[in-house]
Amino acid sequence: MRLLRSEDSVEGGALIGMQQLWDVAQVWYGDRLDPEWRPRTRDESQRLLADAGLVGEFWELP
Amino acid sequence: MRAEELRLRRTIFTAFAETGEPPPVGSLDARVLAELERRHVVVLRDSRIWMAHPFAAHRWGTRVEAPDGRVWWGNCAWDGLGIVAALDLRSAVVTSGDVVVHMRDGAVVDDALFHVAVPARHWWDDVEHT
Repeated sequence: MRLLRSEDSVEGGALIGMQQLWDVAQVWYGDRLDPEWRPRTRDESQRLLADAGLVGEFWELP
Repeated sequence: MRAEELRLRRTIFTAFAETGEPPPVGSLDARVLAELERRHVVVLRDSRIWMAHPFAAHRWGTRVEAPDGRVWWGNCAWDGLGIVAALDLRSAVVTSGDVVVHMRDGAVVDDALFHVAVPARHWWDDVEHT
């Protein structure tokens, strides 16, 4: 995973914009310092990706 | 996850949040720490806590600087923005390689692209390089 300038090009993998990255970062990590934090299930994590628009085989968690 | 694992996890995350650094592993229960590693809560390397997502102990990933000068590191820009979210920073400068992204009033100001090279099912094959 790496950050690119918007005009850079790259082959393979997936590209997401900053707003979408911010959206998923907030739901993925926003609770990590909460005193009541508990681990997510695989399906809960998959749902967070989908809610941020990250869907398809590339985004399928193990 | 057992209560002792949640407690140790909280110790580790609090240290990262307050100092940008993990606590030294010598002060931690090795058995519980190994369980946190097995659960992918932490990544251990060279007898230290290398990552506890979104935080990283290494200094070659993504740098997050708060307006008051405090600094944290994450493994990638996803983690960097995750640090901004976890710490509830309203403003920050997130630097990954030679790309700089400013956060202001809880929003991303600059345009950039985030490249994910490895499909999600293989992220933990080598979690430093995804």
